Amino acid sequence: MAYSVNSPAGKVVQDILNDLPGLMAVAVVDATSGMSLASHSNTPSINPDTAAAYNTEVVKQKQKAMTALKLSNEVIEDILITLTTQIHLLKLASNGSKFIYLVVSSRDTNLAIARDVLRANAEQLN
Amino acid sequence: MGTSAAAHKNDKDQLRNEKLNFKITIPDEIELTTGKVEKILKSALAHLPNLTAVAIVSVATGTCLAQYSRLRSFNPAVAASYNAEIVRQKKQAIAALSMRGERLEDILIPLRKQLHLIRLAKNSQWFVYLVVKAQDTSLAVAREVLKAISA
Repeated sequence: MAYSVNSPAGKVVQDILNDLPGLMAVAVVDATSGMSLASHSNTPSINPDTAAAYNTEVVKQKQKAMTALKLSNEVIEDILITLTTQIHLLKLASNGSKFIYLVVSSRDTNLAIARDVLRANAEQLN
Repeated sequence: MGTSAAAHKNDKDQLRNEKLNFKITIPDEIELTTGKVEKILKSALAHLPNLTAVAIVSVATGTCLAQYSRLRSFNPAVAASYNAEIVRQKKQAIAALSMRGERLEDILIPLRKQLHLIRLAKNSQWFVYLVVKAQDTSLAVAREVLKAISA
């Protein structure tokens, strides 16, 4: 357990775990540094801190793409990535400083449920 | 009802009459035919007549192999290289986590007013990049269409 429920990030991780007990991994990540503020993994092979670092680049690239396209009044709601048997979700906090990274198995959870849980929990992140 | 059906028919007619001459350039190292590219772009336009932009992009170089945009201000070629970088980063993440048997299928990025969708080809050499307006098309429909046309 790499979090304390006393911090806001740790509380978000705990709440997501309560909503989706079967999740594979979850992390709250600082978007500037790519380091995770709180994380939890139910899958030994997934280190959410490693994944957080790479996924920060994914978020940054998309933000660069939006700047290049001059989409100035647009905001990234979330980024959904489908793999063969897993779904990876990145949900940005409204001020863009942090994001939640969630990995679920597509057999246990569908995209809509996972998105809904993240949307509900991202509000307490700022 | 009647008017919207008529409007829809008009849209389709206009689409048929529109000159769909796509500029397609495929490098030798990518396994893809111009016929297939044309088919993807045309079926995207047939299924989603209101789409903002659609492009086919090389993963390795980030160059746009073919593109279509309804908005003069929106150039998918500009976004192509960034989106290719997103795909490469995500593939690196999968590799770093040594997830065996996992393949990147699609990446969906809902913005406030637009939906950006990326779907990788089976050979992972190219992807289809689709942009639609969130008010016209739902994420589920856009995703299903993209899945069907890029298969």
